Amino acid sequence: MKNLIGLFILAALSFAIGGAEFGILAGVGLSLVAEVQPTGVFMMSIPAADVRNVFTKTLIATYRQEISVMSFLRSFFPAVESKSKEVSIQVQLGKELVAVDVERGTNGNRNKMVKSTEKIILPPYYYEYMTTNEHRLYDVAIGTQDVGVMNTLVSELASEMMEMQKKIERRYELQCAQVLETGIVTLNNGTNIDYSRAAASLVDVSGTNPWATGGNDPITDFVNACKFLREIGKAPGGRFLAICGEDAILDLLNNSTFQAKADIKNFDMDQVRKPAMSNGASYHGTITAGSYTVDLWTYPEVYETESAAGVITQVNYINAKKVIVMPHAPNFKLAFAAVPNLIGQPAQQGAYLAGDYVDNRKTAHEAWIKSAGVAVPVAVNQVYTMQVVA
Amino acid sequence: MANLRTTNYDTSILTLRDNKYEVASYTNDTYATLTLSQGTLFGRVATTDKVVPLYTDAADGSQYPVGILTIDQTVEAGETIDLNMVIAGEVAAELLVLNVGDTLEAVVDDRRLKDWIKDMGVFLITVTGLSQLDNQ
Repeated sequence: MKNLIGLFILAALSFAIGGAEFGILAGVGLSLVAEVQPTGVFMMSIPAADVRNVFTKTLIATYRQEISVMSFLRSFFPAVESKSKEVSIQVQLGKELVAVDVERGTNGNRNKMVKSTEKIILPPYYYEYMTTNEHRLYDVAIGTQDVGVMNTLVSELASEMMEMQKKIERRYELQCAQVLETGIVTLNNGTNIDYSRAAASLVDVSGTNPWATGGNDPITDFVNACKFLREIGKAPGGRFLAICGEDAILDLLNNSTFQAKADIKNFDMDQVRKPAMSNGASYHGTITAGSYTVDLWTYPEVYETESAAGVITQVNYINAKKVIVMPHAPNFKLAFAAVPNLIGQPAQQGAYLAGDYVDNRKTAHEAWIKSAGVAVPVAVNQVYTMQVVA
Repeated sequence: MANLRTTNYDTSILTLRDNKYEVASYTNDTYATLTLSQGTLFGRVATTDKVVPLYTDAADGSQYPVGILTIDQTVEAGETIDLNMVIAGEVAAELLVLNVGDTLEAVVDDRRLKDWIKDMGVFLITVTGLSQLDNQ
C-alpha cells in the first residue's frame, strides 16, 4: 500500500511540475491506482484515454461565422419606435396649383385642404428563441461551478442571441427591399401589407427597351423614372439615386448607347467610376438623365433560404433584373410596435424585447427575442421600379 | 384582422358664412328606411307644407328650392321628423346634392335652378381643392 501511495504522490508531483513527459507518465500511473483522499472519499483515477488529447493536440484557433447584416436599404427607412400594438400614418397628397389674380373688392378664390388618408398597420411579429441548455458549455458550467466557464457560457449565449436578432434584422432589410420592388410586404401569417404603389411606378421595359440590346437607350428609362418621382411623387430637387440589380448594372455598363454617350469628349456629364462601398452598397458614379442627375448604386448583399431538405439558396435583396430609383431622402419609416407582453414583465424599451423562460419541470431554459416592425413608405410615390432585363 | 386598414377623411364644411337656418317637417312615406345626405336640396309641397328632395320636374310646389339639409339624416319608414336646413348665406357649391338628372342649369318656370337658389338667399361658392387622398 505504501508503494501505491508513493506512486500516486509521484504522479501528483509530475502534474505539479507540469512537464509533458512527466505528465504522460503520471497519466499512465494514475490509470493504475486508486486514491484515498484525506477526507476519506474513495475516488477512481482518470483513464489515460481521457487525458491523452490534452497532451497530443493543441487548439490553435477558433472561427465562428458571425455574419454582419448590412443596412443599406434600411438606411432609407429611419426607425420609429412605439409602445402600441398598431402604428398608423396620415397622408395628405397635394397639388402644385398656381394662383389666379382676382378683381379688387371681390371675395377671392376659396381653397380647402380637407382630404387625407389614414393607414393603420398591424406589423408582423417576429419571435425567435433557443434552448440555452443545449449549449455545449451549459452542463460544464453546472459541473465545474467555474466562474471562467460561466463567463464564457454567458458570452457565447449573448452572441447567439445576437444571431437571432440578426435573423430578424435580415427580415427588416428584406421588407425594405419588398417595399422598394413591389410595395407589398409579404407575410407568412396574416395578410400581405400592400401599400398600393401607383401602377405608373412599376414598369417593365424588358420587352420594349431591354438594356442588353445595344441600340436601346437606358437613359430614357431613367428620365421617365425621374419625371415620375418629381411630378407624381413630388420629390424635390433633380438628383435621385438608382439601385441597380446585378444583371441590370451589367447590361447598363455593357450597353453601347450608354457607353457612347459617356465617351463624349470635353463633356463631364457622366462619371462612372470604380465602385466605392458604403453600408454594403457600391457607388458606381453619376449620370445625367435629361434634366436630372442619377447616382448609380448596386447592393450585392444576399440572404439565404433553406428548404425542408436542407438546401440553402442565396437570394439577392435587390432583384437582379430591376432598377429602383428614388430620392436620396425619401419619406419612409421603419416602424416598430410593441410585441405581446404581460403585466409585471420587463417592459419593451426599443425595437426588440429579449428575455428568458425557465421550465423547471422539463428542465428547459429558453432565451428569446421578439420584435414587431414594418417598413412603411409614408410617401408611397417616392419610389420607382423598372425591370430592364428580360 | 387585416394587417393594413385604410380610412379616408374629408373634413369639408357645408355652410361657410353668414348662414341662416330653419327647421322643416319631412315624412318618409316609403316602406323603407331612407338616408338623406347632407347638402340635399329640398322643395316644399304646397298642399302639405312638408319638404321633399327637390325634383325640377315636380308640379306640387316642391320644384322650387327652400333649403339645404345640413347633416346626414336617417328616417324610418313612415316616420315624420324635423330637418335642419340652411336657407341663406354662403354654402359650399361642391357639397350640394341634387337628384339624379337635375343640374343647376335645369330650367324651372323659365328660370334656371341656380337662380332660384340665389333668390332663396343661398350663395353657392366654388372651391379649389388643394389636397388629395393617398393611393388606395
